[in-house]
Amino acid sequence: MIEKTWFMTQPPSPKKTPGHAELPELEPPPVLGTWRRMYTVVLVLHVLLIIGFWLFGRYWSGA
Amino acid sequence: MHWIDWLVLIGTLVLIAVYGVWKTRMVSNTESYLLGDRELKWWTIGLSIMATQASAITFLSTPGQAYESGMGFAQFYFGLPIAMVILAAFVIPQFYRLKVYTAYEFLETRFDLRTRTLTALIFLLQRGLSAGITIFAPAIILSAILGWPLGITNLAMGGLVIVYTVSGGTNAVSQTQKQQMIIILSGMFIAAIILLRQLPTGVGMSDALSLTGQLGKLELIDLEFSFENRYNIWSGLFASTFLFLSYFGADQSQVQRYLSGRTLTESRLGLLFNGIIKVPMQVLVLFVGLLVFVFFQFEKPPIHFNDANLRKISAMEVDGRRPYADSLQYWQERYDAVFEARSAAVDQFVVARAERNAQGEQAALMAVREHAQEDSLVREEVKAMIKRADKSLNTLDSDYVFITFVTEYLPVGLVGLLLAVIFSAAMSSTASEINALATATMVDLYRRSLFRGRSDAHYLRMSKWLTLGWGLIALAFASMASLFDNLVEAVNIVGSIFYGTVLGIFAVAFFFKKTGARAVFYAALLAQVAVIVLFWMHEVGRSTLTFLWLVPIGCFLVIGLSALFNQFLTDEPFLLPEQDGDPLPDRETKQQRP
Repeated sequence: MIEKTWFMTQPPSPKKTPGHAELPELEPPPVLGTWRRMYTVVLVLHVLLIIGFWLFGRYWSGA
Repeated sequence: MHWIDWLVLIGTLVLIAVYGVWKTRMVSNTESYLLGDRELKWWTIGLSIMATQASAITFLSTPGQAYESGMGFAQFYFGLPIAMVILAAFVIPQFYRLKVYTAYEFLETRFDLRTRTLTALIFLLQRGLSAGITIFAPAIILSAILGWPLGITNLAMGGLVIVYTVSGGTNAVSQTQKQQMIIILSGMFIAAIILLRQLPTGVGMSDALSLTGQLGKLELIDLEFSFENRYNIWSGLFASTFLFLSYFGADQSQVQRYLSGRTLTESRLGLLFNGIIKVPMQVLVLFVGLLVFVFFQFEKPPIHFNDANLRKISAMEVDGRRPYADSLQYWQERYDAVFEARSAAVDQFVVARAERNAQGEQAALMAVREHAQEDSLVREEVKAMIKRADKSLNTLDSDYVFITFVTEYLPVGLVGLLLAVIFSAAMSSTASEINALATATMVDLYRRSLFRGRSDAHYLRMSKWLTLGWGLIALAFASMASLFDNLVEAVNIVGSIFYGTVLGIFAVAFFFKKTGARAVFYAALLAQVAVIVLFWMHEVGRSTLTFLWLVPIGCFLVIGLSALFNQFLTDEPFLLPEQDGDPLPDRETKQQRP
């Protein structure tokens, strides 16, 4: 007898499982409360890093 | 190499491999083997993503790039955090919702089987070629420097990887990558500290920064837009974002890393962690290269960093004479004199700085620039001579700068550690690649279309064989790679030809929800043909468009053409599930509809 496993469902068709109702994306991040804030922090850090690099380069090049 | 270095090198690599095998010894089903039971925490995912992207060539080539041209290369990575945010916000939730194993599996649910198979085949072709290069590119450099036969170096890099990847699958890859990244980051930090300590007495970090800054090597940001200048902030923020979206969102070697997360939150955090850490990490690697540059202002660097080239042409005989050895000696004497003058000017610069003598500082700096130009001319003459002696020799020696410093100037023990860094980087990216190749072959072709309905034990056994098979293919390709000219560039070109189309298919899948399967399939085929034609036109001199632009062109062609075709190639629109968890339309039912 062939045991029924994960690959038997062809093609992948998402079924409503008990866990499906609590879709993981609804889970908030561990800090900052919302994902939108998390993304903003990453992007703001990136902008600050770029500005920091620019100032660093200018300072040491004597400009 | 000293026995302690051997001990450190072999000990580190074997311990990591044994750890990977031991940690994943309980893998007993296909889900566990291919997705690691989806158990990984965000820091493991983040480190695994970074380790997959950072190949050995990153740690050999990037410091050399900073040595030659400064820190501007860092801008290439500026699109990465943006891509991470886009993927975390829009792409991973869709993959999680459908519980897919590969990125291409998603395309079947969204479009149809043929679109899935087409993109999976494109991935296998492109990644299958580059897996060999991931081994070969650093192996050829290490062989030249360490004097090991190329085959042995290839085997040393590929052999251990195959053992633990075949044994433990995805989980082994991620677990070993965590250790490998720790070794890599610690090794680069230690290299930076040692470099600073090896500068002459009285020369500090501030002198190093001032010298490199005033020689233009600290210009991290170039605000001027230019198509000719490959690295500026605009190409970094826009063109690179496309490249990273494609690489992290549609390349299974990366997708598999974050699909192994315990929850969507862990995967998202892993990607965002990569978005925050990756750019500073690249800057650290570039900064190490810059410190090597400062170090070689006081210590005479070789006239040409690939010593194997010099040995080869010196030994060449013409009519019983060794003409290149004589010429080389002439250029070496000139180079020695230029170095002495430049080094004296650098000393004057440091003294003038200490005395706060601005005029003396500028005069010394001018002298440094003049001698650096002479130095560069002599080195170019030597490269030209090497080419004249043997056209097949590669004269680009910037990839050899860092490894030369490691093997010749680092203390015993650290040579082994830094070599372990380079080998770890090669192993971590190779492991991800063969693991992803085996997964895509198994999930998207073997069990989906070729051999359906077999037992889990059968698929697990075949997954291991496929991993072994792809590992051996990568090794075989790596050992044959030296037979081809410009192979690395060839593989990059192959990647650019296909990446745009794949990115376009995924962009339509995620953002153009009314577009149907038939429209995107024909649009992808047509776009692919158009990209190949554009590439051919460049090759025959009818276009100046370089291959880097093929990615955005391919992507926009798929989006535009699929929107056009969707007007008359009717296909049932696909509706993604609502946030509250409505299930997707059932594919089998949908296909039976007229």
